[in-house]
Amino acid sequence: MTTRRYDARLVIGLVMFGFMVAVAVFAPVIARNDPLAIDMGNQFLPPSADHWFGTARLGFDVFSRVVYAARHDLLIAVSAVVLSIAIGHPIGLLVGYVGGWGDSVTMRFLDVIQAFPALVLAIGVLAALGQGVRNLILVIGIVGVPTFVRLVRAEVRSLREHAYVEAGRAVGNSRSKILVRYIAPGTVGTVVTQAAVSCGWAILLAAALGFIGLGVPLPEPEWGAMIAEGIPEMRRGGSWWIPVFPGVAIAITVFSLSLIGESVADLVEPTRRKSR
Amino acid sequence: MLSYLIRRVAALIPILIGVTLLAFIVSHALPGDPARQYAGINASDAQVEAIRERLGLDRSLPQQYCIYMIGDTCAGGSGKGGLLRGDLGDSIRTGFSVAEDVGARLPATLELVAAGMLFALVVALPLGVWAAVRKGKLLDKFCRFISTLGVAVPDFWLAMILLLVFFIVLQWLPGPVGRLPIGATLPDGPTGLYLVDTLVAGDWATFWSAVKHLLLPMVAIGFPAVAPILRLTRNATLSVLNSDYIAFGRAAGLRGAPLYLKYVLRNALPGAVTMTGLIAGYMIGGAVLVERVFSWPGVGQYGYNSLINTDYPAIQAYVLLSAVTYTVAFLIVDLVQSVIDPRVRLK
Amino acid sequence: MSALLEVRGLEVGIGGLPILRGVDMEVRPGEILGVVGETGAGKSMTARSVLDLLPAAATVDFASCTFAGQDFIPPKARQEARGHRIGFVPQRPRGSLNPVFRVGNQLSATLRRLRDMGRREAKDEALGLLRSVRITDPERVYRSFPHELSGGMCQRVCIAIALAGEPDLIIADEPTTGLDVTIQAEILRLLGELITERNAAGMLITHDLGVVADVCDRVAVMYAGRVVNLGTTTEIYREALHPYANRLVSIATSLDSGGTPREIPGRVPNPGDRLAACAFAPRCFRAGPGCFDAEPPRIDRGGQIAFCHHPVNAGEVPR
Repeated sequence: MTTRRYDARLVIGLVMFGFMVAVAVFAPVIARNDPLAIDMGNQFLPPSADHWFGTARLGFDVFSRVVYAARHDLLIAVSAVVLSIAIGHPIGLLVGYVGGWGDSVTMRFLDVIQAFPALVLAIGVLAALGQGVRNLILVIGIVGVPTFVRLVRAEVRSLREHAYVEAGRAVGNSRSKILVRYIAPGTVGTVVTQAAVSCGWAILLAAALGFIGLGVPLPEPEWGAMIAEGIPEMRRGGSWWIPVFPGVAIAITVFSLSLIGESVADLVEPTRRKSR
Repeated sequence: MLSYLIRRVAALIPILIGVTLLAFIVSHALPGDPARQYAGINASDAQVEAIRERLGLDRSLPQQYCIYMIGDTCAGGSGKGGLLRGDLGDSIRTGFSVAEDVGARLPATLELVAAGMLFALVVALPLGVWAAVRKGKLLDKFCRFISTLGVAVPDFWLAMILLLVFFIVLQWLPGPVGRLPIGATLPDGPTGLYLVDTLVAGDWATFWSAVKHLLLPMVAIGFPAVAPILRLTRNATLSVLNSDYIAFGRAAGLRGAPLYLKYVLRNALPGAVTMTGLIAGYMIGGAVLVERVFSWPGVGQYGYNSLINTDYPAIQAYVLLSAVTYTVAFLIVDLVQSVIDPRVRLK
Repeated sequence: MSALLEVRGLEVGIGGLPILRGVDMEVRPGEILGVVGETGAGKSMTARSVLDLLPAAATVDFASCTFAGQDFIPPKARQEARGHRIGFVPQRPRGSLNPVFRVGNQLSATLRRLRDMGRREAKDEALGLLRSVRITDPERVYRSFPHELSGGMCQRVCIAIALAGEPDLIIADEPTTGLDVTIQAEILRLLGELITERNAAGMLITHDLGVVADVCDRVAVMYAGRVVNLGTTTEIYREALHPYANRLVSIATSLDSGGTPREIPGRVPNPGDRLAACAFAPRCFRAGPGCFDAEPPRIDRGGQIAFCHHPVNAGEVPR
């Protein structure tokens, strides 16, 4: 009875996210103009049949820029999360399974990193590394690592005590084999769930950095930076369309990822359903 | 209780040391040469070198860190300065002591974050309890939708939408000019929190103006926190409602408002408090964004400007302040937790 | 003698499934009624119906229900009786005390609520109550949090809370679950004594017939949402009419005498799988063809009541 409703959330989430991915992939087809085309005669035009989302300074077509920005934002977010998992998952497996001083040192180190608000840490590191897509991915990826380490570590520590792991040990498997064959597969579910949530969070962080001016360098389109550009224009001339549409794109993408994350979490951890 | 307090504070010390180290490393890895920046474009190489020496930037990094932490005793000096003596150094950009600079801007950020927090709690706590009581009903579904949507909306974009609606279109509230209208006489008070200072002075006009300026930034910074607090409160309330002690309380004749206030809210509170601590940290980070939209003269803006200008001491102070506030927020949460839930102290 | 609590034709359903199917039961002034049956028989449901403490999804229907002459069918009447007229002793004492308040606080808050006492008065009375449930250091327990007390101690506190409103009836729902065996007997004896001392009546819900023999005056044996056998403890022990009750007694006595109990084959049916006729028939050693077809008749033999097509005759030794 309840299962169907969660499937609905998953379906809606996947459709919405799939839509945004399609927008990113087929940007050249969907966008009606070159996102970087300058057209001084048509600055700050409100939305119309020619310019669905209106135009910005220098006559940039907002619709085309929102569409092309999906490429940057999704690429950055997905790559960053992949990076977080690639670093965080193995570390979590290892410190969770081996324990001991390596575990304590790692955890204290994570405590220190997580003492910084994520945005502040990202700003600091990004300022040090310099702007650019590659560095954005690196920074957002690194800031996301502790979440995965903690998550996987906790999962490993509870799996370690399970009967089937005991059984695997009893039949003479080596420690490394136990970790790879018996424990690691059990952590995949939570990692996938977190990946969806983290991906949404990475988009927000990328947009925030873009908003501050530390994101993808201008004039390349990026949602956060577009909002930042648009606010003064909105205050000056009331051209609300410049900052509003990029934000809607962010909200749709992150919302779809939250839906996916929530429904997958319920699938992975059926006991959670009871409390919902 | 006291031993618990001591244990918790002691556990913070290594974290705080790590935090200073990391803040130091990050800020010194920044590109750009602060000495040259400080000296100006026309300065000769010799002048730049002199400044570099004066700022201590010619020393090795470990030495610089040592000076930063415990002052010039490290370099054979007479024992002045250093973080442990409360000296954050001088700003390269403004020339003032960083501690003073930050101190002057801190109340603005505190007022903003506190108001945002209050907003989030006032909205989320009752809604969370209500949603749990009406589990599965329309209100519950609406709350779930709102809380999923709430985390998806960037706070700086929400800030912009609020400005668009309430300032540009409706013209109900003032624009993004900071805490008071441009040119207004700033309230002179001990706390620097305008709402408090004007209230103490009985200056109602300024108080009202400050409230109006605070409203939009408050909602912008507070709204993202509504979702997680609401969700947590709802789930905590649900598990309380299903607990044996609620059933027994009912059997012993407890009904109506006392049941919800004394039992349900009280037992659901610890979870919400934990979340509030996490959120506080998030808001301190998020303040950079919201402050920029509303030209709010707070610490976030200061940190951002320092960053652009490669102002080492100021950046360090900003990063450090964020981390320390975050950590202390956690400590406070733990302590509050141990007061409202006696079982915590055992752990 | 008129009953203190009289329940007639109680039907409870959850999600369309009938949980209780016409329960008749009464508690007389001054007596302790034992309600016995396996898990799922509907014992707790019966008690909770009387206090209107069923989950929101449950539907409740009484043919009649009175308490000391008052009509108990309106839910409000049953809610208002909680604590005041009917005290409740819970199943899991530790989880039943609010973890964030001190025990004394919970007890005196109950007193202030139920008996309109002031703070000082409530505290004195609370300490008195703790003493009356045979707690030797009431001052210390008063200041303790539930997690600082043992399960047995928590149950004493719960009993004190149940007594706080000076109720006429005390319902104890498996009050010894999860307690050490040595403490179980103590708690039961205490409950029995307190009920007698205060001229109250009691309803003791348990799955352990041995417990009943020590404390109860009469026994109601429940099976699959019905009372199948009702009589004085002596009668039920000596010659239970219903084969199910009869078997339960022989299991309990053979356990007491150290013998090997002969178990009842099969399992309690789920609410959806019950036979409309005699729900026990599939497991019954006396079941005949009629048992599966028609509702069992009510048999009244010298005051003992059973619902059975083939009641056990006096002196007959069940195979």
